Amino acid sequence: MAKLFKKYPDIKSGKLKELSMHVMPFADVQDLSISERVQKILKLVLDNKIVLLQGRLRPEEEARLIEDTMALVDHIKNFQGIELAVVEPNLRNQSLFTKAKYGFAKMLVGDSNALTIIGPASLIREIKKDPSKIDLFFRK
Amino acid sequence: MNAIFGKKDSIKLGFYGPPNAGKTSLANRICKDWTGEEIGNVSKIPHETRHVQFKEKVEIKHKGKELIFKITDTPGIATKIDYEDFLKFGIKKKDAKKRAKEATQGIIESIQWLDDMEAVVVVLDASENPYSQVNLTILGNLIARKIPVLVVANKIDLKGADIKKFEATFPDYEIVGISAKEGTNMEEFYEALFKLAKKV
Repeated sequence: MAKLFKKYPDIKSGKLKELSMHVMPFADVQDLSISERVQKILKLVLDNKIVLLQGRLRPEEEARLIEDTMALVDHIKNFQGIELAVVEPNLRNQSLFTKAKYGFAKMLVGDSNALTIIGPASLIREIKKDPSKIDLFFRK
Repeated sequence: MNAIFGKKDSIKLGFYGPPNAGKTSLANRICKDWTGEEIGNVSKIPHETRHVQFKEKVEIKHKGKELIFKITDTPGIATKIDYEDFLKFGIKKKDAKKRAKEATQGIIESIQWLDDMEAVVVVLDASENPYSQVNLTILGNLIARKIPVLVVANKIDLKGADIKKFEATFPDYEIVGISAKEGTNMEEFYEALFKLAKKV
């Protein structure tokens, strides 16, 4: 164990002990109102969790998420806000059939092909993304 | 009354974008050009604009046409605020904390004013990566509210500025590259602004 601490000093210092991910299936938030969705996500973020939400929030929900986050930054000590990223399949060069297939799925179950990543800014330094991959940079 | 005499009221034009993209610099240039007065202070330190600021009745003339705008300059939208980021600029801890607190309130204010806009100029920093979630969130909200948008890539005078990256990221928008600081491409900007006004 001592060797492990030497190799990964952050474990000993406790910096990474709270890193955990919470996978949130689309069905978990499907029937919730904007306020309830945002509240559910922010509760997890405040608990130092990185939320992996299947699907994506609507633009007005993203705006509400930012509004509520800022209100919390103002009131909760050491809370600096969130990192937010949405990864979607890149359909720009796909065939019409593939685009139609995704469009139909979107109509039925929402934009569940996308993945939304939301985490505490104090934990995640940066989320860099392009349509096909995503990199999470953690604070040291 | 204006409506009775067939004269259109001023168009509510908002300037939105992430912090430090040059929203106030652009709004200042327009206001200075057409009213002789600036709208607000600019600074290298992010979140200099922490309250929504207005300039009423800005009459802009372009190619023989004249339009009146009510210009609304908004605080930059971000998902995180860390007062320690301001310390790097030599601000004292107490002032940095105050600035951070005001910045959070400014972001909320910006979002709440969205519904009041008739047209929006989204100002982005041409030397930064355009593919940021805040940019996408702002544009998504404007589309959802059916508010006509003009995307401006500001700071084209900077070395790392790359307009092509912006055109590839936002293929559905006309991108106007400008330097608000240097006054570069302002004619092209006004051309695009008058086109935008037609959509209101």
